[in-house]
Amino acid sequence: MLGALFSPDLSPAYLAALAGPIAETLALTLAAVSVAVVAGTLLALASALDAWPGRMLTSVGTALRAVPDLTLAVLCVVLFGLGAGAALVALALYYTASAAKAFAGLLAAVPRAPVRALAGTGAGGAVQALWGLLPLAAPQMTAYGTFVFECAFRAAVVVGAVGGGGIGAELVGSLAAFDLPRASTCIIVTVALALLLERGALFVRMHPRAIAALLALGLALAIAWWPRILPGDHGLRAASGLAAPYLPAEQWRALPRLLAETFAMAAGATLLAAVLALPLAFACSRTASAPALRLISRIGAAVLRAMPEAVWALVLVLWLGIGPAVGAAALFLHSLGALVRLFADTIDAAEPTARRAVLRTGAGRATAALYGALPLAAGALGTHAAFRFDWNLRMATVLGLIGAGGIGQELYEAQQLMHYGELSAWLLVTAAMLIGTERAVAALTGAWRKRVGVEPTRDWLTAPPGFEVRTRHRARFSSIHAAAVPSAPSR
Amino acid sequence: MLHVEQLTLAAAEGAPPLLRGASLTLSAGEALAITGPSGAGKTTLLRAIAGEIAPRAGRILLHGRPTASLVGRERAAIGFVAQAHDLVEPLRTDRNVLAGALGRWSAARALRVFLWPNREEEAMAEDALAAVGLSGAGRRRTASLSGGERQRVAIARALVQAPHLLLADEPVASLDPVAAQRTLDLLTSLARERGMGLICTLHQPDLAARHFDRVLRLTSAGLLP
Ligand SMILES: Nc1ncnc2c1ncn2[C@@H]1O[C@H](COP(=O)(O)OP(=O)(O)OP(=O)(O)O)[C@@H](O)[C@H]1O
Ligand SMILES: [Mg+2]
Repeated sequence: MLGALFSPDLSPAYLAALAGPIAETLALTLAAVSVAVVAGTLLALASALDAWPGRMLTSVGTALRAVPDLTLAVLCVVLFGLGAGAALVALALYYTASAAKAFAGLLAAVPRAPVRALAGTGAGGAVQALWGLLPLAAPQMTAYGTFVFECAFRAAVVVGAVGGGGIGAELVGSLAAFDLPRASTCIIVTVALALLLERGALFVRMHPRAIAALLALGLALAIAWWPRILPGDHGLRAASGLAAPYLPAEQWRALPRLLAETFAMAAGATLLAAVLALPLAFACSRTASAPALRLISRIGAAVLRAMPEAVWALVLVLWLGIGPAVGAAALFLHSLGALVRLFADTIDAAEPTARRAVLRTGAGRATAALYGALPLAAGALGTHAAFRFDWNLRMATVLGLIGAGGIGQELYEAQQLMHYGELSAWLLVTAAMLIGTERAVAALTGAWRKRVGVEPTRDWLTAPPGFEVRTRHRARFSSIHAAAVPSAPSR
Repeated sequence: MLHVEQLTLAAAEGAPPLLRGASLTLSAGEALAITGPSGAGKTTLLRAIAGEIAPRAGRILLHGRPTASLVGRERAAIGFVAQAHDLVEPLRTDRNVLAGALGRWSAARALRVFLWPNREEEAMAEDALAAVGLSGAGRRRTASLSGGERQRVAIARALVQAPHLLLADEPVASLDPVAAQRTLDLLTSLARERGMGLICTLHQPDLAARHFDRVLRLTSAGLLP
């Protein structure tokens, strides 16, 4: 039966039938990201200029970001009903909050003197933003925006699986009907699109006009799709249920086990992925590896990470059955792909003088990377692994929605049974666990960086793992200078 | 028009004062040069005159008003050409030049000019660029200009701003001798023609003596002739 997964249905008729769902998922992504970029920019400017709504909305955003995007989608489905509208609201809200936070950080890191000079010509706050702040931060903001697009695309696929339509719904439908050839086609299409989008992001960064056109199109789509009906009868009942979080006694007793399960899923997957990613990163490295080996390992890593964790989980459920093992395996496979690429880029980006010195002793390229680059990169590698753990913990709560156990599964069951008090209690548990872990990881990585003496490179709360290195890596391909963001100057 | 009375200044809170009890008067159309060793506090003095740093003691009055009290559009009365040029480097050169006029424009006009400057505004930028010897550079990205070219773009921005008082911090530091002569000629003649007050800090006493009406030396003892 599983062999059928390797014989995709590539008949022209089915491929043509997929065009609609694909377009829907892409359009949903574009609409949500456009809203997020525009609203995020406005919010970030408001807080950069100390305008009144800035701070208040930033704290609302912090609360929103504490809940994973897909969990937010479940909540929106409860409030707005099934369909693209709920998915759009969830994705737009989540990514607006992320973008606002990230953009605010980027705006704060802009050199102050040119903006002060504009103030000296008598320009007002909004005009200073347009003529000074935004142009100065634009390259980094664009890089972040395209990165958000890639994340949102994966999220949009998975949101389809929980009732948002598009290619995700098609995939879940095929899996439910045990039509594995078609499911396999959906997966191939998703992976191919994710890879294409990675390339497309490069193009868009070099063409600011394309960005303007895409944003306009996205906003138009968002307006067309935004759920017009206010939450109706059902929505109101759901809202009042949500307002009174409540857990029955046996759930309280199960809580430690569920938390441990979720935690173990993320920790095990991250640890194994990090350990295996290190040797594979050398195989992918531009400075250490041979061309053929590099090509093969790069493609392998790209495919691993192009499959969203949730899609891995949907497939793995067929092998492993429902339970935390599915979640751990899915997180491991995706993390491996992501970490290999990140580790390789980090090793390649290390200051070259030490590596050159080792090469001059007659050592080979791999040895030079091992002795000359790895020690320099160690701090960054540790930080990346820690960030990935944080990310995986988020995903672990989400994967429960597709049968991977842990608190996510409880949340999903509460939603299915319309026990909204329990749903809201699980939301609170999720948020508390994620915020607590975030704080702990931040403290640990801070201590680690101090020990190994690595500059903090990014705000890891808002920039999902990999943003920084990819930015620097891609700067080589584009004329846009998107170097590491310096830490904000104190005023 | 500018009165500096018994000024005591420090570069930052808690730092020791750089000058004590300095006084200075500047009339409209007058060009003043200030020289002094590196680190003497020339930049700090100019920033204080521009109202960016509050004095420890004493007063700085432009047309009778403390410069630190100028806010919003009123700040357009004082132009500042900073030592580091302070341009918005990702923008085109003509946008940086036109930024000098932002204090006169409404937000809507600022938005329009940012996107589509009309002929008149393009001519305004071109005239200012031509005045500093950068005719035709308007379409280039500011980041692609040399240090000396950027310095002149910063001066062109100040020309568009047309302030009552222009403060220029080492405006010829990155220029070759010929361009330096020309730039100082331009600044001092503008001061005379427009009745604009001009204060430049300089490191070259000979240039200061040749071009300016008055030269003061900034030392720890204050502003000396
Ligand atoms: N923000 C600051 N905080 C602390 N000290 C400062 C600050 N800015 C300047 N200083 C100090 O104040 C002194 C005067 O600085 P200022 O920049 O005014 O000198 P300057 O005369 O313009 O020198 P140069 O000719 O090198 O430009 C210097 O010793 C400098 O180190
Ligand atoms: Mg100075």
